[in-house]
Amino acid sequence: MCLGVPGLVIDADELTALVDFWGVRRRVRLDLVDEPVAVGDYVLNHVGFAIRRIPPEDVHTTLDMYEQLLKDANRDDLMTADVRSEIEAGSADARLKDTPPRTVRAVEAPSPRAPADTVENGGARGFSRAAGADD
Amino acid sequence: MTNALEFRDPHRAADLNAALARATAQVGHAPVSLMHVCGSHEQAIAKFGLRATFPRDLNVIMGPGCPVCITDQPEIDEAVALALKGVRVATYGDMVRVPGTAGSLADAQARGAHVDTVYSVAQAIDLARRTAEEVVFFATGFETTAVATAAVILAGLPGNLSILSAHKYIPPVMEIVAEMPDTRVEGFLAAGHAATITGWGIFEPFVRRYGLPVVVAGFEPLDILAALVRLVELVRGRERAVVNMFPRCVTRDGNLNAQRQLWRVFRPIGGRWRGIAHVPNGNLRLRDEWAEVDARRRFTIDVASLWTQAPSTLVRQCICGNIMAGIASPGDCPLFATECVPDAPVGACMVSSEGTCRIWHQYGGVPNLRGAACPL
Amino acid sequence: MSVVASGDRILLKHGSGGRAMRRLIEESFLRAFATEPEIPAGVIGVAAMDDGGAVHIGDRWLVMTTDSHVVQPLFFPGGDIGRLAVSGTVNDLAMMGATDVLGLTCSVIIEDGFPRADLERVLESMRRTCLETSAIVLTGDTKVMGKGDIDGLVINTTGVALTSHVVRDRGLRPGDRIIVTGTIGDHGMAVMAMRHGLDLDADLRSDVAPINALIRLALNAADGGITAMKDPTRGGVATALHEMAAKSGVGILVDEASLPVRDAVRGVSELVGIDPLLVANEGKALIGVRAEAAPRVLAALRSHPLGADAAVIGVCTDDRIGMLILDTGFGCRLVAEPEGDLLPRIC
Repeated sequence: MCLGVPGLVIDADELTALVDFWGVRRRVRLDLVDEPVAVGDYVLNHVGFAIRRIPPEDVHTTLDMYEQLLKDANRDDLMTADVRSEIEAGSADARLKDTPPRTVRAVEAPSPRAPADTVENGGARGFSRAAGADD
Repeated sequence: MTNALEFRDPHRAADLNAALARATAQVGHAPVSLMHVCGSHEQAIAKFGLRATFPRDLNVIMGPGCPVCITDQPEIDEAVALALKGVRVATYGDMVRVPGTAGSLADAQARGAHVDTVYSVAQAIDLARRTAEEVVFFATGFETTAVATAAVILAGLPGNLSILSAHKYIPPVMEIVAEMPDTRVEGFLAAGHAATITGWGIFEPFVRRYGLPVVVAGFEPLDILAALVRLVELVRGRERAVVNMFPRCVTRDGNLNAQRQLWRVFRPIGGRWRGIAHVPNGNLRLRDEWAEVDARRRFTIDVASLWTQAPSTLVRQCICGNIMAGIASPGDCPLFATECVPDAPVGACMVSSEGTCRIWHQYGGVPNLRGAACPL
Repeated sequence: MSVVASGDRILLKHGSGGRAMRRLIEESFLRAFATEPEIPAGVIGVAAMDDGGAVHIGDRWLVMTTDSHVVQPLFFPGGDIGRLAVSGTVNDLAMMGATDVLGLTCSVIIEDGFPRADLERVLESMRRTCLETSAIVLTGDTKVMGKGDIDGLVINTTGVALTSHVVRDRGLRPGDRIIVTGTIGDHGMAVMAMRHGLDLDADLRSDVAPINALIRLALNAADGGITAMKDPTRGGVATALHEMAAKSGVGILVDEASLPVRDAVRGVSELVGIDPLLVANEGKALIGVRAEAAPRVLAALRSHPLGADAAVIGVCTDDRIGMLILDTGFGCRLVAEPEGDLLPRIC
């Protein structure tokens, strides 16, 4: 149901657009987008409605962002504030440095793990344990 | 679509995985627990087998993000009661098998009720136009889906179509989870599609109040991995921040056009989410001015007649609520994969394609797949 | 807990080819028809739950199979119920290694009021498909039921063939390769889109076709190297591989990138969230081969028009027995058997 899928607009009028998703064409409604949509745009489609026009240049911004993330993650030291703000060009203002950080409980290092079994009865090993499960 | 495929590049994914492992190790404690609140994130993680590659000390928990699973029994009962009364009920496929207090819409269908599966609310409109019968669209889903319902109501519905709204609104439940005494969640991954509508700015008060970082994430494998790297870094640095890692679709203010339509049609009210007790402002109901198309007002819905049998003992053992809140996993449930299976679900988590238990059962939350790789 | 034993009704899901149907067969039908303490030597019966049954006669096997076809809609892009009926039966025989069909039966149950022209169209399609595969309809039966008592048209076909060597669905060994003879998901996606009135403009069409000639080429090229065969009809490749893995006592690891999928099928599957692995195929086969035989079997398949997209998609392992694991390129996931009513009934 949460099927937001991006597609390419190949025809559009005021109310609807014909969108190509991996070679499948589908007419979607434009009631919900917040800017005009034209042939050649990408749109995010959800349950038959376009909910966002995706500017093509933004796609590359995202990929560049991931590259930058990797470059910074590869540095041994923590990132400088400059680099951080560069990456967070889309978000920035929400950081609050004046309030003290939330206390995080230290959890003891887990004991050495049992050899990985191939099958357990509904067990959670090999997948994330939910919060609340002890090591 | 080449663009989509770039977000599925396995080489970049491997790099991001390595970065995730390093960042997790640098946090200073283990495990690091993060929560996402979107069924589609869980679907993507499961579909691409990402959990087999996450660092062992990273818990990525699925919270109450499956809109079908958190639809409460009384809401299902309303739809079932209508169907049994002879009203034609149209709904998204997942909802048809969710058990209410005494059966699901599929059970009602087996008893002769007319239930239609649709892929979009617009399809329900087409259906209503082709028949003289009364049709009710059982509207479920979070805000991303609710906006579609709002749009068609504003555009005008056929006279024989009304809406039974069980839509939900996600942001309030993050607060509930953050306030749970058992919670160990250190950061949230926010659903990129919902944020396309609402914008990322709505998370700022939450971050301020609870001190938990939020990263808005897309749904391709690279989107999810990159967002997790960023979120772990925020946890490592103990930063209270909202970071948008889905800028191609999400802005600070979101889609104002869609928001206007949403709040013109719906008002938020408190209500029970299945297994999670009361969520203030978590349910969306039609405003009074839309009473004419509100199925709850067009029909007298008699659910009491369904409650002639006590809920089975199995239901009492169901821990879907804890699973949805992220404080238990399907493996902890005594019924998982034994009495509770997709073709005989006890709880909603096993019914919905986005439900944690269903996904674990379907994609196998059982074997350890680390190190498995096809040699071809 | 047994779902079927505690339930008091047969539901739609019990006919969908998934787990629910398998359990119905195991719990009810096998109890009725497989109660002999010993299956006589030289008989492959219902307990094997293979694509057909077989009786050893002299130095050969008489293979037989039967299918009832209740597809809706009757006519779909790429085919119709008639072509489906003939192809389905011919292909089941081929999956047992019997590629020279001796004869078919054709029984129909027709609803009162069914258009004569549609019946003629279906029969013509069956005739042409029989010609294509050198099969002959030898006998049949015709019944008409009251309006509303049956849904349009139901066809049952039974086929018999002789073969000197029966191929089972349980002979896989670790290291064996899994080959699929062509693109997956075509039939199921086409019929599902039509049934649900999905407003899609996509080039979806069924792959329904008799593939006995294709399989004959593969068997000849393999020269004994084929260890198991099964056709992935209802329940898709996932169901068929599950059965093969469980019966053979191996695990199967599939490389997602190797799966041949048409663009239109991939596109629709992304849009509606249905995995091509779970969806029916009506002109394809899954072939387990010894690793050394794989290249020549693949070449033989690709030399035939119906095998042009044949590909090696996976390998059998000695761990994770009975499981189907998919390597997505990012990580691995388990492919579970589809449950009964995940997909619409399509054949």
